[in-house]
Amino acid sequence: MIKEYKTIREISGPLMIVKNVEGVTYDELAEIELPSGETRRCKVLEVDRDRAVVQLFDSSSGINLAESKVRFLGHGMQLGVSPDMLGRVFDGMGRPIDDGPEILADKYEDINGLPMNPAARDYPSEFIQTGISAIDGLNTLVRGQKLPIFSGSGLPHANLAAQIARQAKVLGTSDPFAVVFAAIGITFEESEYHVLQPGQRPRRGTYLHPPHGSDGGGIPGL
Amino acid sequence: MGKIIKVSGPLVVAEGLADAGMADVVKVGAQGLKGEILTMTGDRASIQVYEETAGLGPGAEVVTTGAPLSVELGPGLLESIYDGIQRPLTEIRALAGETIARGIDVPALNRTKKWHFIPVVEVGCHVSGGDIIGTVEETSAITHRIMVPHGVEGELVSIKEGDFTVLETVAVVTMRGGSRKELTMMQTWPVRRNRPYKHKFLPDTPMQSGQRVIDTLFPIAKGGTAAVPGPFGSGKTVVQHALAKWSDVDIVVYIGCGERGNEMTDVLMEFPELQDPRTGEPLMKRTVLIANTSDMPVAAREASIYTGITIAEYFRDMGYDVAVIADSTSRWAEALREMSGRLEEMPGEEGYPAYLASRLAQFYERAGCVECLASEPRRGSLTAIGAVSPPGGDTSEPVSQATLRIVKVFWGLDSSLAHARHFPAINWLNSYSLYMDNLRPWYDRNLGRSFLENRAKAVAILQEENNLQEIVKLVGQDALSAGDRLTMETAKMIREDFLQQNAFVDIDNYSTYERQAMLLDIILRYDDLCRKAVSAGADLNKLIQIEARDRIGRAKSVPAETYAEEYSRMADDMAAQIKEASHD
Repeated sequence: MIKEYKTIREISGPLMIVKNVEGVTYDELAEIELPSGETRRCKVLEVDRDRAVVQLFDSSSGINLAESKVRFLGHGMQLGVSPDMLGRVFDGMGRPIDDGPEILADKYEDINGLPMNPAARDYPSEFIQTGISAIDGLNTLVRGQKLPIFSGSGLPHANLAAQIARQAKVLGTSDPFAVVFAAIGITFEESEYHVLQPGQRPRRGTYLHPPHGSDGGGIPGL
Repeated sequence: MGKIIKVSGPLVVAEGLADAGMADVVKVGAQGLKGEILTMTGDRASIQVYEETAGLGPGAEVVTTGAPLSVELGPGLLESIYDGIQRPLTEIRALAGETIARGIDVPALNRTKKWHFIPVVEVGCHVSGGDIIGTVEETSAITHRIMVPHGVEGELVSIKEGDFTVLETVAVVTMRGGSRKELTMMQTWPVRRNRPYKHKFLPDTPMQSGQRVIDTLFPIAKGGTAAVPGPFGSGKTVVQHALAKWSDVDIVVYIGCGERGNEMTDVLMEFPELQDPRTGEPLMKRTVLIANTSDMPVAAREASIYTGITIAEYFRDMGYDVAVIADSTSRWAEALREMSGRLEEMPGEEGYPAYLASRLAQFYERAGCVECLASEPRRGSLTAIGAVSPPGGDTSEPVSQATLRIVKVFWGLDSSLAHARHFPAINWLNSYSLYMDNLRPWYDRNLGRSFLENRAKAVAILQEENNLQEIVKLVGQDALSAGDRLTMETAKMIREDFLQQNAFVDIDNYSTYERQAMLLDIILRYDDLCRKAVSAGADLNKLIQIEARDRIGRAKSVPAETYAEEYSRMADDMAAQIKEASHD
């Protein structure tokens, strides 16, 4: 049975302390229901006896300490995944924001995942063609490898990232290859630029967007 | 049995643990996650949990195992890959697939595999801790010597040859009080305690790594300590891998601590195929891998360093030369910092705990050249090499500074050298080795007195080049005297033809000491002959253009079988050509 608590004792920025809780576990997901009926999501950062420190994913404005209710959901943050996610746009909580239908999940996955066993890894050796000669020729992207793009203000990293996302492919194999593009804390203009990349969405790619320009805890991948 | 009262990331606080001791390993929650007690206040314990703690909450059970964090030592260690708390990753993969499931518990040493045990002592003899009672051919390269565990002493009443698992009794000892002690091939040892030895020696033999810049300029002794600090992309991992591959030690323990998983995969895929240049056996047969990659839990990262060095000490106690290579101790220090922050300890410099320096010292002090604790004389050595990843390559940060205070060899990697494609990018101006004095007798005995003289000359020329470069920047190359220009040319030859070494080319990746000495000698002889010719009035431009100089540039690619003849022919031709050029 899920209990509702009306014992929020303190809110400070995105952090909130709930007292007199029972059976709350670390990293558990929770929902807060405002008097208006609006719900916002949050997760447990620390539990100390009957006191839970909770982090809000949305803003804390408008939360009334006496009237708001907190429900702990008994599991960590999960994401319903399905191949239908290709070509869609989501916010940082995995909710579609492209006016399309809800995703019917094939299964739910813990977003933190599990560490990969180093003994089970295969050494990256397949070339990913990005079509950008400076990358392909000099600093090759390899399947299973990770490469950061270092940038600064005023530099066109968004264009470069979009170009890589649009053109990347593995040559000589028919293995499925998907692009997940996570845009974290970017402005509206930038996000529209990525969403509107021509000919890109129908082909492949899932886009996770946090609320524009806000700090709303972006989901780090799938 | 205790109950959790607080969970904060990898830190769990539990009450009701009066029966537990400090540093005991505990099982937390329904999944039995492994953790270790860090502090005790009354019956309340702070526990660092080695696995992800999501889903734990107040009220969950905590049970102590009554023993500190320990490793299992016995046949089966070699060729294995373990996580930070010695869980065998290959077995875990067979059980749980591609990822590491929480709470999975697999014994470190295979319980069913039979090893052929051959006794080396006879019934009736007196044995004590550390004495070798038998051997097992663990791999084709290494014989595992089975030792009497520390604390056992008495008369051997039975011992038998045959195939046994690690838990079956191979020998029985009657202790002094009359009690019988059954010995198996496996023993355990707490990782945070140094394994005892009789005494330590000053290191006196270089660890030959086959890397010219290391062996000739900045050698490390067997039983010594070294640090490899370097910014990202300067080739720390390549240097560490080269050391793990080519060092002339018997056993290598490689700790991948908080670094990329692909780097461990690289070792796992490459080492079985590479041959040890001394034994001809695959390198994997002498290697133990400890992996706590960057996606694995942070508390186990703290333990991984100790797990690795305890395994290394065990092989050292058998009388082997062992090298522990840790990549990177910065990630380990960050794990320490994370736990310290959760424990709400007073932060020191850059948030690292105040005990960072003493913990680092404890780790590196476990290295050394020792007389093993045993009845018969036996020597072993443990060499510790740690990579440090200072943010931005700035070694003034606490981890680098604390490390440099302890270690005696510093191989400073330099990103400007890496950008200039000079590999290994070890900066010859600021690196140092404090073992030169200890090693001097070895060099004089094995390579002749000329080796150290040549080394001193080479270092002087490189330093002189650095000074001259400032003049060149100010007034240009033409302002230099012929002698100074020759110094610049020789320094260039030392840098390009000697110090640069390609880790990915089969002939060049390993170079013996004799070969290094010979190559350096040729380069310095060129300098010497040219200098004499120039002072007699010869044209330096002609001396620079002689054909033999190009051949010295290609000397690295001469196959190992024929290099000696080739090099002496090269030296003769060079002398003749210099003579000819100075007479024109």
